[in-house]
Amino acid sequence: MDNQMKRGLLDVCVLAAIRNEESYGYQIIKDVKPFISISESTLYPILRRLEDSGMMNEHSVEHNGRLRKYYHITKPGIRRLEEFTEEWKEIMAIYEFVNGRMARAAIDERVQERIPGKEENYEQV
Amino acid sequence: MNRYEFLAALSAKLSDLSPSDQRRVTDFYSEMIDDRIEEGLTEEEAIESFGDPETDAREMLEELRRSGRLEIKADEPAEKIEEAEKNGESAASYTGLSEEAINEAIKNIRPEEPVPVPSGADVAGRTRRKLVPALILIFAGIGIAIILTMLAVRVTGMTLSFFPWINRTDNHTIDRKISSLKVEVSSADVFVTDSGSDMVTVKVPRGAKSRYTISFEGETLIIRSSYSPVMHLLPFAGSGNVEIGLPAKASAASYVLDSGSIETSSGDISVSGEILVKDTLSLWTSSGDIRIAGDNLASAVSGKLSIRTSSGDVRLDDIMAKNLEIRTSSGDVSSSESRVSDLDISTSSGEIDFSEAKLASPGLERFVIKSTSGDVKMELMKIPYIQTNTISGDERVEPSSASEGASDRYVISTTSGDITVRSRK
Repeated sequence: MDNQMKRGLLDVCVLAAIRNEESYGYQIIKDVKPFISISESTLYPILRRLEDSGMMNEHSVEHNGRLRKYYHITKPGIRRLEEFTEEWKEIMAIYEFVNGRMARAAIDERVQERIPGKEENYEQV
Repeated sequence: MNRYEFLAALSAKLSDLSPSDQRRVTDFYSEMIDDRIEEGLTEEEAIESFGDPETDAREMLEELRRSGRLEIKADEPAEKIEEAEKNGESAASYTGLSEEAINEAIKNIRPEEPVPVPSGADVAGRTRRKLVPALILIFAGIGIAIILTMLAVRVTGMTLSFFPWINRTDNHTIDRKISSLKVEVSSADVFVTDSGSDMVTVKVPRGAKSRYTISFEGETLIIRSSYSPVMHLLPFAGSGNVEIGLPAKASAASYVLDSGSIETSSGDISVSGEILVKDTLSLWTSSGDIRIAGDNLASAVSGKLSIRTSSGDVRLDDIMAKNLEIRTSSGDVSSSESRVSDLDISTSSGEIDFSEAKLASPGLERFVIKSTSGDVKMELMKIPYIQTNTISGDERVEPSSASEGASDRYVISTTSGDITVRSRK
């Protein structure tokens, strides 16, 4: 996948992971991993980026005698997710278009392969 | 590799970051290690799951740099590392750091004391420091708003409803058969009318001085109010109205209600439209007025119509009732155009005026009217034999046209009130 695209998708996945309730780093990784490869070293810069752009904020909560950072989505973050789903409707339409043309090309090729074969058959006859 | 070795190796690779940012990264990884240990891994396994700290540090730096978190330095550490690796140098040398620097970094991360975790009290204290001034501001704001509002109410003397949750109305349409009605409210005025459809509709106040509940017991619709201490404090919350829409009578044979009872302590009760009650309709209020306005004798109670008010007035227009019982202490009672077969009225100081009631004696089988100081005025189609008693009041009673003798079917007695009975011309 294109790096720039992956970066954008990762941002959106992390925002989606904290969309309905705030969450912490390890939980985010576990939630997002089934969909896109993510590790601590990828997550940390994303969290910094999202926080700097005001899409989420963090706060510390005491957990088992230590502090755990919880991330909380903000209004701009929610807006970003809404934009994402809107954008992807367009992208899905483009996908349908591209995929349709590709399928058509594949059929045409198959047909083209067959016809010369047939002609040969005719000649033999 | 244990936790501290891993974090030190990581931190050593993050020298491009400020010390506080480095700390942030090591805190982040430390939390990740703890979360994995909590899931059942050993510290060793948790750290193995990360892979190489140098790779992680390099990836993070690249990414932070790309998103503008870091200024681009002339010498890319990534290049330096590759260069160093080619030369087969040790980890310490290719990071560009001396052994001492790494040891220093380890010391920074692993101080003599364990990494201090702020206690719950510290966190709470920090939150409190932010919270207290905010709360003071909020309470001060609310206080000023209340004072200004009370002043505005005092000055203008009007009922304000600029708060969206005050003095509103809840509308309900009741989609079930109602044969009986029970209303017990404290200060609201109660209006009963026909809904214009075959449904029962109820409007109760919301955000008024009392809370209103609607419930059902079999086919009985119950509307009650309960004291709302908060809303009583608000000077601009009104008492509101309870409005009950009953289905309009479809034909004279079908009753809208079997029975109904409406009680309000200080509100008025008003019944209008085409209401048919089979058994009993009780309208009780302590200080409110009671008014029934049937349209062209459209309202009828085929059983007993019981009306009680202590200081309120009673006005009945165009009503039909087999049995009409009215009790007031200081309120006046008056009526126009009524069909009643059994009339029973008691008042202490109120005036009873049935002079426009067009009471017909053949229909009017019995009446007992008692008053202490109030006057009694009646006009009848045909005067029966009336037993009148008064101690100090004047009696102006037209002679009876009835031939029969004394009977206690028609009784008017007062202490000091005047009694006037005329025949309708």
